[in-house]
Amino acid sequence: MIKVVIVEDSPVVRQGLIQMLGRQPDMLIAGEATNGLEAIDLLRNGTVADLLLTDLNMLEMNGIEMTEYVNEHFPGNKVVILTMHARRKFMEKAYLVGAKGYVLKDETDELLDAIRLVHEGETYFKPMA
Amino acid sequence: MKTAEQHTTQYLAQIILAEDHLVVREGLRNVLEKEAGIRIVGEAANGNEVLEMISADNPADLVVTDINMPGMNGIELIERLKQLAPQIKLVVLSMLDNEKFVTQAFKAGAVAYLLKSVSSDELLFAIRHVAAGGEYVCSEIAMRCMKRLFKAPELPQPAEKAELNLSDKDTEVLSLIAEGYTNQEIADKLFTSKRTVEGYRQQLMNKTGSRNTAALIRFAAFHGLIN
Repeated sequence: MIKVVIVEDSPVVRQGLIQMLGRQPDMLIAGEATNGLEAIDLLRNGTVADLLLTDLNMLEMNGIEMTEYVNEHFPGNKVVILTMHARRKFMEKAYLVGAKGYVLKDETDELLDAIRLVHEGETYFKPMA
Repeated sequence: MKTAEQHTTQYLAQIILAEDHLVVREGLRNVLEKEAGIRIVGEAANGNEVLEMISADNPADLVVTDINMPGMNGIELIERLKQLAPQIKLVVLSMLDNEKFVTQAFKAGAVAYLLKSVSSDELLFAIRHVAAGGEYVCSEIAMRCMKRLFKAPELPQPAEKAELNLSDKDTEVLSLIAEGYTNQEIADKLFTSKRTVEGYRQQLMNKTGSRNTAALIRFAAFHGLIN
């Protein structure tokens, strides 16, 4: 089972992700958070996860800041960014702070593959203009 | 087999979701379907698919639509539906928070505009409110507009019309200034001299505490001195 924490400030998108991932036989929703700080609190409070699926733009703590912190303090948790921003600059930044994947919100077909690949130790970054 | 009329009386809202992002559509369906009286009767990835559903006698009485969608976007869909099925209420759910889009949506015929960051409670409130005949703008946009109004520079006060002591001639000249006439044109209309009109204009600025003509017109519009 791939235990996933969903970090997303839009309740509608969060619900959609919970539905989509929850239907996968090999995935389990380990927790949900509306920003990076909440996600880190979950980990600090003992939530066991393999992977954090996170938005970029969130109040309190954004996805980049969270990725950096998680890599440093919870290296067993991999981070995949799920965003609407198709910008190479953002993807490079995500890569540099230690994200293992970068998926666009309008390419959710690829999301499940990306989660599985990253869980197996691969990375998922598509060339971007 | 139930008729469309029976469906309408049975449900608070029968909704088509128009959204190209599968994740958002799933989330929307999940939030809305938990609410008693709400039924999802169709899902579409763009405006064209909604029109196909409507022409195939879909019982929907409300469409929740994104703006940015491939094929036919949300604004175009609203315009088309207002012509084809004006009884259907149109709610925009978008990540576009620019007020330009809010205006466009309402002008096209939407009855509500929500950002995708709205809570489930606010989304459900908006749907119920709209289903009951109301209109709605989500609190984030509404508060932003309100804050902008707070920040607007204060107008010079004596706002009491009587305190301004405007004569009928003052008001007449003021109306013509607001309509964009020059001093010479006003003079020609009122059969007086340009210098007299200049005098009225200066007098109006003194009485209203306005520094220039733009401020004078703004003051007059704000206080209802001109139509």
